[in-house]
Amino acid sequence: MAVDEALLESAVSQDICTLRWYRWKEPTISLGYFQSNETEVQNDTWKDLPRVRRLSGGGAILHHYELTYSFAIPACHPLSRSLPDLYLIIHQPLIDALSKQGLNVEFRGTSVTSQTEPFLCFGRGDERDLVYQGKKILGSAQRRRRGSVVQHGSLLLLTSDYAPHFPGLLNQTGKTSLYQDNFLETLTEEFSKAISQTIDLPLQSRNLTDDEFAQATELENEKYSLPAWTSRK
Amino acid sequence: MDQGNLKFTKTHEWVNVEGDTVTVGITDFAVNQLTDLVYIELPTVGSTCEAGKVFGEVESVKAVSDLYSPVSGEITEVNSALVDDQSPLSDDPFGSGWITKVKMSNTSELDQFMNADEYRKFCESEAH
Repeated sequence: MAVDEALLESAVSQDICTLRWYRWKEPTISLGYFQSNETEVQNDTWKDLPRVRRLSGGGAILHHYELTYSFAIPACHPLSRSLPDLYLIIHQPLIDALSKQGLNVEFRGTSVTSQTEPFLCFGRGDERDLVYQGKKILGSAQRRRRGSVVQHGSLLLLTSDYAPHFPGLLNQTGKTSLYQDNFLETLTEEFSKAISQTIDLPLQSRNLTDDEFAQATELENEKYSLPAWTSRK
Repeated sequence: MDQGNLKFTKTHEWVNVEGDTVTVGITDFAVNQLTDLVYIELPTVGSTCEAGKVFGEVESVKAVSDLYSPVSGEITEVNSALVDDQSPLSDDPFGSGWITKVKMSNTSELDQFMNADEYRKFCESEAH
């Protein structure tokens, strides 16, 4: 989360556009920015899982057998102007890349709203979500800062023991054996190429800059790792 | 509130000046960009704010956006009803959707703001 905020700052201060793919070292719950940390805190299944608060909105994500992406885009890029469109613009190349792997997902198309939103993002329904036969397999959220945006999201690949009611894409398609490092690497390369073409910017692989690394370290130490941040709501 | 009497910022806030105090809100252009608002976080009465710095946050379509204070000074009042019901921001952004009242510490900050005509033209250029 600290790296994602550092990438947003690079977009704000240096007009740098970055796409990042990552996985989590251990099953972790990331809370939406406005969600209460008290919610489901006594849930027997989740009570021992580490939690971190995101900078973006939406519901909690259980990061387990999934891929997380973040995409930071500066204010000077026209795509940063429309919030809802950016979801569609980034999700479409993901649909195309998954289709090449024989995994045919689509936009949900209609939003599902309720008075009390479910705690987990995958229990919520936005029209821009990606679904496989109606089951949500990808949702995204955003943070805007001075016109720049970081959008991040989670692609649910395998069903987690911690949330068995949300089936992973590979479980639904009978391809669970694909969940291996080389497949995930191929997938992220294909996603990156497809997004690069969609936003008409050349793809260039890079590590964090020294400034980004220093800023992410500072944000981790002074914000994201602190109970005061996780429990601010 | 008559928009002709308001002043506007490039970050889509409006202010209504009454002596050394301003009422602050966000414009209909900003609200339309944000679409369905679900949460708002407001500053604390008595706290200070600084022109161009963050003084609140809103969430819409899973996107959290900062709200920027158009002026520097002390927060004297907040529209706390918005915390439970954000609909006035969409339905009446220049009236019941006001966000804060600020006692200004530097009234010259108002000099750089746009009037309603200038702001309308600015929004047209932003949309293209």
